[in-house]
Amino acid sequence: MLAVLIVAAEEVPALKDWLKATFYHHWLGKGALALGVFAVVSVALSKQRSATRLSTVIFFEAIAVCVSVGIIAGFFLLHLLKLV
Amino acid sequence: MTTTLAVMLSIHVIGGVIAIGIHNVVLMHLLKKTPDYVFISRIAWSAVALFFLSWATSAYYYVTYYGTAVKPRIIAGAAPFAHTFFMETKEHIFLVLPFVALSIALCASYLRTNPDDALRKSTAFLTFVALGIGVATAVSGMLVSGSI
Repeated sequence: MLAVLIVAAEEVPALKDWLKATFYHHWLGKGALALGVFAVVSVALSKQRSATRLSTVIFFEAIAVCVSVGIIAGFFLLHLLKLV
Repeated sequence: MTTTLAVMLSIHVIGGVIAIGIHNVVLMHLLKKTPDYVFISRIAWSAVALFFLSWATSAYYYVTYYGTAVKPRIIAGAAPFAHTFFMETKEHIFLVLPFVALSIALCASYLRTNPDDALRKSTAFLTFVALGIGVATAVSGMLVSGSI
């Protein structure tokens, strides 16, 4: 979610403006939205009683984090090279 | 830079580096066959607190000072990519890190009462990812500081 929001805010000025207007700074807005999504997902996963399923969720979380970091770094690299 | 900003920046750096070091310790302990989950969960929660402290102090510094006073100097200097790539990437990747630390701490706490080998391994993998991100973020910070 965060990677999509970060790229979207850079590419869609209206979104960045909305984040600035709502949260004082676009970076604070991204953090606040990430906190909200994390809280909701955590509450949903707290119902999980199976350690095996939880280990699968954690594994895919690690993969999702790697992909997100790749997207974020890749986007700003393309931005630096003026390709986007 | 005011004294408050200098203190905020120092806490950001020191807190972040210690938290990254803690994740290294967590990873080493999770790789054991019979880890001490009480110890691991305690230090993992310490890393969470330090990452959130580092996050909060950097937010204050970034919002009130960096954008207006530091960023223009870097962009006008010899290494503008220090901001356009390293700082931009770092400030956004760092949004992920406290939540990853929180996940690790929650798993470690869960493992205290429900030891499970599969969950131990996946938590170790997540910790390894967090450690890699933390180190990359810290190195980026050094590059940004060095470009001023």
